[in-house]
Amino acid sequence: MIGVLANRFRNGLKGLLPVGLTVLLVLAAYLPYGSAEVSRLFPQFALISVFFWSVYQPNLMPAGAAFLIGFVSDVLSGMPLGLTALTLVLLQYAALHQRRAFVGRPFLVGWFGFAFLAAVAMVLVWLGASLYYMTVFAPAPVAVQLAITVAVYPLIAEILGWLQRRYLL
Amino acid sequence: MPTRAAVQRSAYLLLISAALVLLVLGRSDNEAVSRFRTAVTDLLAPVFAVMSEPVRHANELTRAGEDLWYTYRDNARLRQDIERLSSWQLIARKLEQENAVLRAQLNLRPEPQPFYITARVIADTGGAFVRTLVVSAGSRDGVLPGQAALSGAGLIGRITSVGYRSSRLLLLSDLNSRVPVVVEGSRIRGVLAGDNTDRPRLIYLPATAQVSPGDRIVTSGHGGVFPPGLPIGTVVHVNKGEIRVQPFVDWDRLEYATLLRYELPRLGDGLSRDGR
Repeated sequence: MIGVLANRFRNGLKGLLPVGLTVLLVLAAYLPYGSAEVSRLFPQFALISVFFWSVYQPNLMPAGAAFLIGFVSDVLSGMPLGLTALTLVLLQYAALHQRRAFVGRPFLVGWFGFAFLAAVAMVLVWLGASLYYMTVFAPAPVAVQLAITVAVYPLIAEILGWLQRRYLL
Repeated sequence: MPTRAAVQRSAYLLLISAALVLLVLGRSDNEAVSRFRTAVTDLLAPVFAVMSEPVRHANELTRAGEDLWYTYRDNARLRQDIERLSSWQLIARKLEQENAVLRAQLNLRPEPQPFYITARVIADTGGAFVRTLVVSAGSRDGVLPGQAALSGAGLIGRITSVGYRSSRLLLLSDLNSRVPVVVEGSRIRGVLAGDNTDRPRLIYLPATAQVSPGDRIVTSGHGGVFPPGLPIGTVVHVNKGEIRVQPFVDWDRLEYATLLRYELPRLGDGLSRDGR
């Protein structure tokens, strides 16, 4: 009996891995790295993680979880509350509905797919923030951050893939 | 199954409308939204404090290495500084005494002594859109909204929201930051406005104002939020009405913030103070 419960508990914990890990990645973005540049150019790990799990383990990254992750990010960053939440829900929707294009295909296909969706997501955030604050934010820092995020995708996807194989499959 | 698809679709609609409602509420400066944000940040503050420890140690290590590397050069420069500053010290001592004597003759009421709170920076949310910090002091430490925040070198911003154990600090460079300032020599008044770059703009100067690179900018104390005379930075760029100020603060070495509890001198304050 206890063995069954323990097993169920362990499986429950494993099920929380994708969302928990994404929240940790969000928190990591806001640590004081002692460099203004690092904070500004820090990759948007949440985009990578939400995309990855929506494609490769969609049952563990439901829309509500994407919303929650975005919400936590907005609360901490001081961004307009709801903007990142909205963006991540839309990203999760797009990734989930296009997952057949990525699953079982060469890695490059997934990378390009991510690059496209991440670009759309960051344009959305830029537009949303510009509208919210009634100003035009400089697009260059956003573009650089996007480029960095796309550049680190292979590494992060590799790590997430390893975790998935190790604990979830 | 069509019903399942319908449920899914309505879940998406629900989440998207929730996000939009939050955006509209936040835009209208809803009190509940900002209080909620403060509460969640406060809840996560201990997590940040723990997570930021290894980062802090790593930073200290790289800085120790840097300092060691530059010891020889820095030593020579510091010797020169000591020479130069010791003559200034003599002048300052003389002025201090003279000032005290003159104040006594005028019977001038002393400015209220500010009260300092030192807080560690536990989160840096500086991004492309927002420039804020979270510091590890809150209402339990006596932090109040509006308090000026300084680093060793000068003003860095002000407190915008206060939780129990943490507070959010809006940096000078944030889009929403406006600080009433004066140009130190000429006493010209203006406003230092952040625009998400490292060098805020100086705006609302009188049309005839002459400002040139190298001029020092300090707080004016207008509006009663900041005490007057806090150093901010120097003018570095003047071009066709666009004036940019380089703050004294080293954004890359911002580990602690000193929060200044300042109360505007009120009429009648002097009487009660004398009575005590």
